[in-house]
Amino acid sequence: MLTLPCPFCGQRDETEFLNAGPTKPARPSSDVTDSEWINWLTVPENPVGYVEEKWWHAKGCGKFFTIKRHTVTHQIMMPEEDSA
Amino acid sequence: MGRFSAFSLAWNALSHHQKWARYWQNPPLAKKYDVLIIGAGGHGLACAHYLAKNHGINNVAVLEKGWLGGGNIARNTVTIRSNYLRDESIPFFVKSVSLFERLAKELNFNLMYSKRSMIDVVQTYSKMREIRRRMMNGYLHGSSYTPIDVGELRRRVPALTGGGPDSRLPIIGAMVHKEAAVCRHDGVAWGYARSASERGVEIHQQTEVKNLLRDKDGQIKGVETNRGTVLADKVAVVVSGHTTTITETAGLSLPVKSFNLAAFVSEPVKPLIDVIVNCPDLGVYLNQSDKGELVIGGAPDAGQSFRRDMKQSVFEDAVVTMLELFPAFRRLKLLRQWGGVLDIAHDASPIISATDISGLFVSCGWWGGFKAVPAGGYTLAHLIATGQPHQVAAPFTLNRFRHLDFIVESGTTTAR
Ligand SMILES: Cc1cc2nc3c(=O)[nH]c(=O)nc-3n(C[C@H](O)[C@H](O)[C@H](O)COP(=O)(O)OP(=O)(O)OC[C@H]3O[C@@H](n4cnc5c(N)ncnc54)[C@H](O)[C@@H]3O)c2cc1C
Ligand SMILES: [Zn+2]
Repeated sequence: MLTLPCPFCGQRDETEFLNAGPTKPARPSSDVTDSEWINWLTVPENPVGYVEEKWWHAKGCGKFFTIKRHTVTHQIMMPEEDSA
Repeated sequence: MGRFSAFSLAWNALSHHQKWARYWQNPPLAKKYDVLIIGAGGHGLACAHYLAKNHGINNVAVLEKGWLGGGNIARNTVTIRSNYLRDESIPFFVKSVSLFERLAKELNFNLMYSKRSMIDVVQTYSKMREIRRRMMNGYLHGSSYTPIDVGELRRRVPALTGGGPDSRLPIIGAMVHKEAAVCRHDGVAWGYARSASERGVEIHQQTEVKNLLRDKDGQIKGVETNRGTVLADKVAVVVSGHTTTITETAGLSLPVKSFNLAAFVSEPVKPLIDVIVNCPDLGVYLNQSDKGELVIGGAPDAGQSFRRDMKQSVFEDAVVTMLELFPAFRRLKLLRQWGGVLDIAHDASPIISATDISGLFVSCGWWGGFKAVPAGGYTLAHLIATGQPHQVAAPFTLNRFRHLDFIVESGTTTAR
């Protein structure tokens, strides 16, 4: 069973959480081109490797938090850890 | 190669079935082709077949990293249906279902195509509203969707004994989609491969594409594989689930994410269910195969994933929800479980499109893409041969992202 590290509750079973998708880069400034804007809106990261993503402890304390999870091994790291 | 018929069966029996011709040839890999198709799944092979048959283009190689029919084409739960929601989607899937009906004949290959209704079991009023809207849209586009009451549902699916008035989510009604069907999925891959090979297309297994190659003007010029460089002016990426890993080698990002979808089967039992039962409120669907196994599917794993197994929590969810409605299945033994990697766009509709890289085509976002194999291959071949999208596939290019013109099919059913 996969467990996820809720910053408030600690390691909990993944069935208590909802996945909120990969994180986005910062919102671009208003002078970007149309195609850069569309890319920011529609193109997610899709790596074979670590993806930085949000989870919601929906059936627990309700906190949103960010982790890095490997899309093949499900190994989990904190966003500040180096996944290289 | 010879045609399959009752006569050829009897004739080959005389030589103890030792002399059947090979389904496809294994010629050496050439340096250059007119068209390269990456991925020998359903969509890649169908595209190869229609390129040769409809457009006379047969200097084509299909490159496959594993074995032909080892991907999602042989991992799906074989549901064929056209009860989609949007004006753009329904004509495309109606075309695919009608191509499927004639496919065994067209390919001269027994696909064990079996038309059987799909019945949606409805347990919430919000789902009932959504599904009635789908019914009315279906009427407009020639796809049937007919409401039945709970008594009729239980008469047609006697094994469905759960979901009574005292349960947590009592069944309130059901909807029947008559055009639905199942068929032997690996047969679809083999049938298209056999027909394409007969028309001169080459299929190269164990040939993994590592990189896309572009010339100095940025136009596509070929691919780098584990067996060396292969050149072509037109390259189609048809790799279901792994699209971005390939296009990113040429600097092209796409609006898709990869997910794991899985299924499992029970031991074979006597004929018990002759329809596809879809339970969208609980998130489980099933049908019974010709061998008698129940083929059961659930929801995708929640986060992005490139795994091809089934996660324990997903498996438990599917089993628990199935037992709510089919309590007698508690006694069934389960035999096998497996999964596949699919990519999905934000709106859950497919992408059949040219790209910003001249000569590079993609067919991806196939979330329930088994039913779409004939129309997907047909329209991709049309796009590659003519440079213009086929009429029924025109809404499914990358342009819809440029204009934020989404064709939202997400969250509408559980059965693929
Ligand atoms: C569990 C499950 C249940 C499903 N149920 C249904 C259903 O009931 N109804 C329905 O309509 N759809 C269903 N689907 C979806 C359907 O199976 C897919 O959408 C469809 O098969 C994808 O298209 P394909 O057949 O071309 O893919 P695939 O068969 O996966 O073909 C892609 C091929 O590309 C190859 N490839 C990948 N990378 C490379 C590379 N670098 N170089 C060379 N080759 C490469 C792969 O090895 C693979 O053979 C289901 C899927 C799953 C996983
Ligand atoms: Zn918590």
